[in-house]
Amino acid sequence: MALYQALLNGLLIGGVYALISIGLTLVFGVMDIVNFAQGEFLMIGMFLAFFGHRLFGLDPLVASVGAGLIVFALGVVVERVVIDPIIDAPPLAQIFATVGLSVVLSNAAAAAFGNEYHGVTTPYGAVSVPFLGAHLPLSYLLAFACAAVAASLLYLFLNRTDVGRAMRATAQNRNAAVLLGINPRAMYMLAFGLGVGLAGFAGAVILPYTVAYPAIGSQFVLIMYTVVVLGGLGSVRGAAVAGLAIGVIQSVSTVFLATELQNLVVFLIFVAALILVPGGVLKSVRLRRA
Amino acid sequence: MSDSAAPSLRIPSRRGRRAVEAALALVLLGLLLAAPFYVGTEFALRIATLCCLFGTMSLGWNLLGGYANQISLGHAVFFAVGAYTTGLLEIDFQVTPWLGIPAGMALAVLVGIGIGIPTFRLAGHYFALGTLALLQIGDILFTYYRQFTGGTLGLTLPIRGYRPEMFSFKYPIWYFYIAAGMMVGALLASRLVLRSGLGYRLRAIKENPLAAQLAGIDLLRTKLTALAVSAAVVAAGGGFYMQFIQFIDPDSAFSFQTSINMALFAIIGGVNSWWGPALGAMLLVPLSEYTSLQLTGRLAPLGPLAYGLLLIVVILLRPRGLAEWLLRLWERLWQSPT
Amino acid sequence: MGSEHRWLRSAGVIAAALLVAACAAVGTGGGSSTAGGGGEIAIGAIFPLTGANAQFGQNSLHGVELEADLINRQGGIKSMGGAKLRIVSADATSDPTQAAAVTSKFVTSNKVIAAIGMYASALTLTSAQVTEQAGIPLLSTGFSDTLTQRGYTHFFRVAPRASQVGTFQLTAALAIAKQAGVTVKKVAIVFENDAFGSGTAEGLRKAAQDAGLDVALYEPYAATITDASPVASKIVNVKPDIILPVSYLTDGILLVRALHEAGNTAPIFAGVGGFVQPDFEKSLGPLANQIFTADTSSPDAYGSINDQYQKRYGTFMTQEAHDNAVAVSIIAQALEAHPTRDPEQLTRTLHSMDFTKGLATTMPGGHVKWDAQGNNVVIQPVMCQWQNGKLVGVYPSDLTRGTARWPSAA
Repeated sequence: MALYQALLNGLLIGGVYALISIGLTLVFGVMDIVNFAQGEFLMIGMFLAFFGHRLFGLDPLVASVGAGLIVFALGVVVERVVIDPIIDAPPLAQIFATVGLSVVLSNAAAAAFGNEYHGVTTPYGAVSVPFLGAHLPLSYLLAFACAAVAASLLYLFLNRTDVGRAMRATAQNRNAAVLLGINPRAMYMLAFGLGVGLAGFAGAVILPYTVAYPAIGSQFVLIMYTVVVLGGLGSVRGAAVAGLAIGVIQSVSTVFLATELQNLVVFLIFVAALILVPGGVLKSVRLRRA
Repeated sequence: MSDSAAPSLRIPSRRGRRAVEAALALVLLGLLLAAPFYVGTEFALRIATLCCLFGTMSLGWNLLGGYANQISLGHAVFFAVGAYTTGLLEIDFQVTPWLGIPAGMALAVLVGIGIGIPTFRLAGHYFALGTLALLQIGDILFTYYRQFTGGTLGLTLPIRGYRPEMFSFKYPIWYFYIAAGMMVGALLASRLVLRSGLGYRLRAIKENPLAAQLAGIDLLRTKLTALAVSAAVVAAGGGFYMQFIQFIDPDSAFSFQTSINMALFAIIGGVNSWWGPALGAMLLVPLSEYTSLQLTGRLAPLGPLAYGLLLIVVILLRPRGLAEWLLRLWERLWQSPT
Repeated sequence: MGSEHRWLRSAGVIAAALLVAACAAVGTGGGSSTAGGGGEIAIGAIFPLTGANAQFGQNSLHGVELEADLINRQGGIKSMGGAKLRIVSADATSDPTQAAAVTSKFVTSNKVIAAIGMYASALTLTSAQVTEQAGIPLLSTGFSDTLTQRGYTHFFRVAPRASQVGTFQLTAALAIAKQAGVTVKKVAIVFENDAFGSGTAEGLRKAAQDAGLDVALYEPYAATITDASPVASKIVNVKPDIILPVSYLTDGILLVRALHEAGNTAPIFAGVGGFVQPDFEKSLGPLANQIFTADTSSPDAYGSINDQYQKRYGTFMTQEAHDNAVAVSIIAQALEAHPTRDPEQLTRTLHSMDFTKGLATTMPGGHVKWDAQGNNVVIQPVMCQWQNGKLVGVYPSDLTRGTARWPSAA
């Protein structure tokens, strides 16, 4: 029974993990950059939703669209200033540019908002919905629903629109894309903006069941990477499936293990995946061929 | 490097230049060792000690990150091993840190090799991510197994009076000299590695791993050697830290901030030189301590924020670090005017 | 790079250097100051003003400043010529290593006769070493038993010991249950895993075992937890008769919400921390109603200072604000009785006197006295309950004025 409940909870949380990780894998697929600051963009989205609630009374789920758009815009700017110069730079430069970015963003938030925890109270914050013998926290359910909608829209974008297809083309082969008249730098801005915008959106969507504080990005970072590596760096579908899987693994492991060890299983899986399967467990449709 | 030059006002010979460089090194060493006498306050001496400590650790990080291009974001794992080993040996078994610190270093080498063997075939991002995961795993395990490690309460060295044989000194000046000694040792080790066969092989691997392999270099063994030395140096720093600060807990031991700092000082100072990381530490540690004094409360994060900006700026504008820039200036000094 | 990049490069480097220098120049000094002149006595107040414990730290500082102000307005330390108390504050941050570093800097740059701090056990554990080595008496609300087991001679715990709180948390819960005619056989203990939570939970567990109860769950968790559903699930799954959490504010709020979501009906008896804060009730609203929590002192018994605090700061006086204010009152009483500017002399006075006046009377027991290790031998915790938005003391009857209401099944 407890296991069943944990499974369901895990799927719901996994949906959000999937969304954040899709953003991360998108950036890698198109630009070959691992964005170490992804968690900070999530955090920015959370704070945007928090202030939307505090100042305008907006429900975080409603504010999530706005949060996502604002973070998207921020991402585009960041891409032009910080990322673009290091697209072809050696790993040292790439890694530390985004690490530096993560430090800047989290400390800027700390200076602006303080290090304290900021939570919101929503009407659905402590309500659960009975479902097939278990009870689903409504805030989880709504977060999952929003993530699913966003992911579906992304899928449509990538597969049914010209711009989306152009982005996938750039991921597959930059030179060929250029020959086809696609502007790679525009694609980079779009991909990065989209990738972090999804994280910002996700941040707003999870605010009802958690709290915002400047360092929260680091709590999600490793989970995101685990999902992305498990699903294959660059594979959107892989990230989606792996996100759900990791959510379930994390949730189920809390039933058997101490709460403090909650993430241990996930991280061990991560290290194992890194060593054993660098190409990703799921080698299905990929944005970018290895 | 020109051997001799056409008519010039400067000393043209290579040997002469070497002499000047050696003299310069001695002057700097003298400045370092004389520090306690001109820094003024006890607080400033403390900062100087921390400079040397972080300089040491940054040099250690660079052996792997700079020389071999295996970028580790979780190097604090070795710091933690060093700190906890000496702490636990002293608290539980009354072993003197003079033995405890080397024990920590040896253990770190073992841990390093254990980590390196499975992960070294991972390139760039993957290796960095892997070390990050290990950092978190270490944090979780050391928190959970509190009966061995003290958990979140951490380890505090008991007040045990001033006994030099137990690495407890009344006067801070001793701590400074030990740290300075460590840093000089690390500098020498760094220089030795750079100019040795090992350094040559590491550079080859950095340039082009495939070509290096084809040329007959054993990638794994070379990298493991670099990792072993690197782990030992950083663990020594961790052991010293435990004795100096007298407190460690999983958060401060397995600290991402410490990991980044090691890399930050090396990047800003210069990853390709044997003294670059020390330069980076000498510049940035006093800066961060000074700013944390001035910036309190809500303004406190502005210090680390400036660091992050500095890192980004350096990466974008001068990715090889200060050392290379200074060396180029030095080169120009020696060139003939014609 | 072409020449058009060169100026960009230089500009960038200069900009970065300027930014760093600007950060260094800006900002206020960190609590450094010279000692007061003949008419002032400086007391250090080192609390977490930023980070996870910021709220508690700020409340503590408010209490200290308020009491010092009140004492000064009534003439200061009359036996020292009306010398006024001056509070010098510093931000301990919410990180134990940082707290020690801040305390270290503080004692070397400020001449204070005593220090009050650092609210949280974790922060106090590392900082007390510093004040002890500096020979400055430290008055603290840190619960952790370890603080008085290290052989410190300059440490004074104003609050009860963690083990004492834990034991009381359980025995009071059992007594209240008995009064309501309810039998308790199984308990669930969850706690945040730093010194505060661990120390209190130890006391809880031992008391539960001594009472022959089944400790169905004994679960530490990280205070930085962002999702309490897993912990709540664990609790609900063991079907306890009562739940005994030891939490700070945010984790406490998340836990209560998650328990409600999970369909919990067992009454909650918490161990101080976040459960006694105004924000706890503000964030949870009706969910907070009828929750019990131990407290180091009962807010409805503070008297006039509560009204003054309410007027100045807008909320009722919390436990940490009050208890740290008591520390100020005690220092004043000590100086009044044995005037001195020497920290060592003050330390001796603190050890020898029984403090029966001023704010010390509003502590449970009516006065404060310390043993040689620095334990407050008079104090007992009290059990309070949130009743319609107010925190009311309900047990034991000789120290409190309210009545416990056993929660009706949800």
